Amino acid sequence: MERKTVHITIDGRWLEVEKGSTILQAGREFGIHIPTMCYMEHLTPYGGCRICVVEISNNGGKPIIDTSCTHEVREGMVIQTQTPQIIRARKMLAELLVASAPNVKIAQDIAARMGLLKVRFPMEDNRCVLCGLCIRMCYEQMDGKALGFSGRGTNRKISMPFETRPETCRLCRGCDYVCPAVIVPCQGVKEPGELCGRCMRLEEMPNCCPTGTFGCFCNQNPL
Amino acid sequence: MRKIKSVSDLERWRETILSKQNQDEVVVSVCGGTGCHAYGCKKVRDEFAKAIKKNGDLEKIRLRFTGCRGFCERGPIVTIQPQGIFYQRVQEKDVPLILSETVEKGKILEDLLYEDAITKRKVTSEKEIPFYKAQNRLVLENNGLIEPTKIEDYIGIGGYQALSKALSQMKPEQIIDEVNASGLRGRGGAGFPTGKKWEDCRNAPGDIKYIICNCDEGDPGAYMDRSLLEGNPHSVLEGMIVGAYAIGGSHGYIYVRHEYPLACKNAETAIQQARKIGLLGKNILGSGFDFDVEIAEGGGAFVCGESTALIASIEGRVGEPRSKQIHTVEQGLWGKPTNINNVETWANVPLIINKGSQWFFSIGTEKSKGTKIFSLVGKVKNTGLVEVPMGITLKKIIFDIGGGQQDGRKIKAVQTGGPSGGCIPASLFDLPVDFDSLTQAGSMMGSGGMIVMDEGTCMVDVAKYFVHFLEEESCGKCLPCREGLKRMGEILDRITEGKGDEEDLSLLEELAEVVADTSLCGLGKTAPNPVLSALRYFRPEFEAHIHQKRCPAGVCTSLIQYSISETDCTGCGACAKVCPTQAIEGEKKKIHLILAEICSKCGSCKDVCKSNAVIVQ
Amino acid sequence: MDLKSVDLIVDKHQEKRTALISILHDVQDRYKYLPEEALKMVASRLRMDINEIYGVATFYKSFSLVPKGKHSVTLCLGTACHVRGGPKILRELKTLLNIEPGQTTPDKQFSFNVVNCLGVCAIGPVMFVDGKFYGEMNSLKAKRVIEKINKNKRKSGVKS
Repeated sequence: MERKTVHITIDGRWLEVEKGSTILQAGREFGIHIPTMCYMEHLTPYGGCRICVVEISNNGGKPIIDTSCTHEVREGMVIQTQTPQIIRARKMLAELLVASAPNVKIAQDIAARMGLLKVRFPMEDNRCVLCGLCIRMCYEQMDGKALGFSGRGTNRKISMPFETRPETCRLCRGCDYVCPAVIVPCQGVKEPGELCGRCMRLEEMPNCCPTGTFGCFCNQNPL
Repeated sequence: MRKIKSVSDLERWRETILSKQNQDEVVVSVCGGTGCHAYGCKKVRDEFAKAIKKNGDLEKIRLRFTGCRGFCERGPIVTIQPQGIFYQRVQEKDVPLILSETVEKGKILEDLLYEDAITKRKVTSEKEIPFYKAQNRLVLENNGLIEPTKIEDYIGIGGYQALSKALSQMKPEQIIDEVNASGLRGRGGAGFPTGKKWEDCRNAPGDIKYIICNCDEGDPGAYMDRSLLEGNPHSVLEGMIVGAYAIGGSHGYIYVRHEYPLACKNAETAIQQARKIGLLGKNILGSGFDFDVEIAEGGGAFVCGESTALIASIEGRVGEPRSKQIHTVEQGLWGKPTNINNVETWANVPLIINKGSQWFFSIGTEKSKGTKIFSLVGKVKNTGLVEVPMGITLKKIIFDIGGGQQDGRKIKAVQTGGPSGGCIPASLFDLPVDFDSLTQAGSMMGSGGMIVMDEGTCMVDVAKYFVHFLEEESCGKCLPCREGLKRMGEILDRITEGKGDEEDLSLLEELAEVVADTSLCGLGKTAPNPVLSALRYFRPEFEAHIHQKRCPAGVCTSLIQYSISETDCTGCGACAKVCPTQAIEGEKKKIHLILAEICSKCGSCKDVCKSNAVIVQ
Repeated sequence: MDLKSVDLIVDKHQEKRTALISILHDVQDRYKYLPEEALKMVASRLRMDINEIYGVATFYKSFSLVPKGKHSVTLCLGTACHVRGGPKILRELKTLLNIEPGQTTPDKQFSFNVVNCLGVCAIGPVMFVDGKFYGEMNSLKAKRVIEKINKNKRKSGVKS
């Protein structure tokens, strides 16, 4: 009978984990925390933000660095989640993230968790971190097929085909639900003394938000 | 053309072709490569065709429009056999004379000969030209002997003999043994042992297996694959069919980048011809083996040269790489075992089958066997494609074959390996060129691009160039590659504008390390190499930009000034005429002056000045 | 918009998903860009989501979703062309045509693109204009090429 588990080592701890699971899943089973951004349980792992990287060595071979959310466990795998190289990498990734999207809550959260004190790059103000969770939610859970990546490289963005909401979109708000950049209503960036009326300020809407609602229940939405 | 159904059929046809060739006939070969096209080779060829017909010499003179000869700077190239006379830079107007003097009377036209720059000696025969003499053109040689769109030409020089041998005399395992024994390693850059790749693919479970030829040659400055696929597509096809038989492949694709229209066209023609006569399709040469090939086109994305991105592109999706924890030889195109090899790798296969693994093994160094084609370009006298045995030194390639510096400027470095490689300073030119030696120096041999740089090249500018190139070509999936390269580009921009400071260099190095460590695919993983190698060997140039706000090579526009030397200026006024911003003042025959505030630093004045009086510093 | 050509193009490529890029190139050759309706039709014939085809059309650099100019000017900025003075030619063309790479002039006459290596490196710097290669270019020669096209238009009385 084929074995259903494999033995791996994470940070020196010898564990027996389910075959076919990823390093991240295995770690979480045993309370080993690896930071993530573009990962969400029940959606296919993407491996785009690279924040969950760990050092992996198979059969004592040369260690490689790969994302724990996508890498499957194998018998005898040795994993390190906190080497100096990995910590340096995560800190720099956090710095790049925050420099790109300082007004996005999860970027600030990750930066804080990494102990980042200084951003050495000129700040931009993107409201989308290109994690792709909304796309995966739309395709895999809600069968909307309304969102996708367009463009390439630094011009990559999340959009609806031809920048119009297709008929297959049922306005289910699943995308808003999973977006880590959604600013919780009435807690977003504000000038002192101002009232919430975000949904009225169209120019501040993130370019990825297809329903233009930020997750709040405002009726005046442009789409 | 009728169907070939067996090995003996093929041999009979070969004999017929050879018997039709007249040993006494004169063969006029006009190079039809893309480079020569840019210089009007088609007109030259058409002129020859017209004249030969008019003179009634169709029986005496055979006219061939050959594949790329690799000496593109001297195009259009015309060679005349059997004498082996080499004419360069031939124009339409030269055709009548060539026919009447050289072909008819055997007289050489001095003006059209190659002239050695140092000795000033004219060279008549192709074999004596220094550029060709030091080369070992095993793979490329046939480009000049055939017309790529005529399968008969290929058969006439022994084409498809390897396929016959493989299908009729060898078992698939034997073929793989031969390729393993030869020591052939992938020519696309990674240098993975080809035999092992084939073996792994053959052993992967599954009945349907795919064979792919990677002609997405995206390294800027490299065009070996273009020349091979354009000039001798059947050699690549033959290699693929042999490989497919050895691996058990059922279907193949040649992925050609969109920027190579002629290569695409010639490869398509070759496939059609092979199909028509039965070298592709069912029951090839009566062996019971079925295999067919299709062309898949690229859409202008460097990242599609990476194998998983290439596969995604063929599947009709965006070229986004995926993790390689499961190798493509096990799960590739549509999840099936897939073997991808580079054009040059495939082209080497027929040679190995025909001449044996021992022969191949005897060429090259201990770990790098055979020859390699390099594209020697940039600031060097003789630019073109160079095929040499592995292990030859950089010095020999750049100076003996390349002819050394041009414009009287000392050669400073050579960039190898494209955007995944790095620069090697002149002090290390004694290094042998093979898969491993250059890696230790901080670069890599890569797919074969060799860009020579001289004192007029700014290494900070080169680092900046590569980072921006990769930033543009990044697929955008990974945060470190997408954002990291952008920020590296910003830092280099500032340095070249004179706005850099000391911390920038350490920040650059820190960024480089993280991009290399955490990126998903080869593009990101090797992206920092050009920057890191430039910093390693040319740090003083970076520091000059930062501390002295000066560009020693005179390239970075914010840091340079154009001025006119008072001693050399003749007052001819040519510069003032071409200046787009009217920044040059001066009366006729009097010394001219460039107004620095209006000067746009376009360099037009320097281009036209016959007295070399324009100074850039 | 007449979409019959799109059907014929897809037929020619036997409705193969592997020929998607070639199909899109043919569509672009026919219409001078990739119109939305054409893309939707290709998607439907190949049984793709319009999302997927939109992603592909915006990913690959050789595609344009806006109409291109009558004349296409492509400058190679590969490494070999770069060290031989490519950037100077880039500046010259940007000034002459008054547009950035990737754009088309307002009068729809010129589309300007840069590409990372055309594979003719030995004769760099290289320009590719209306299907013809021009080697060993510099700012002056580039200017002359553009001027020649403009002059030919004026001569033949073609309205701008």
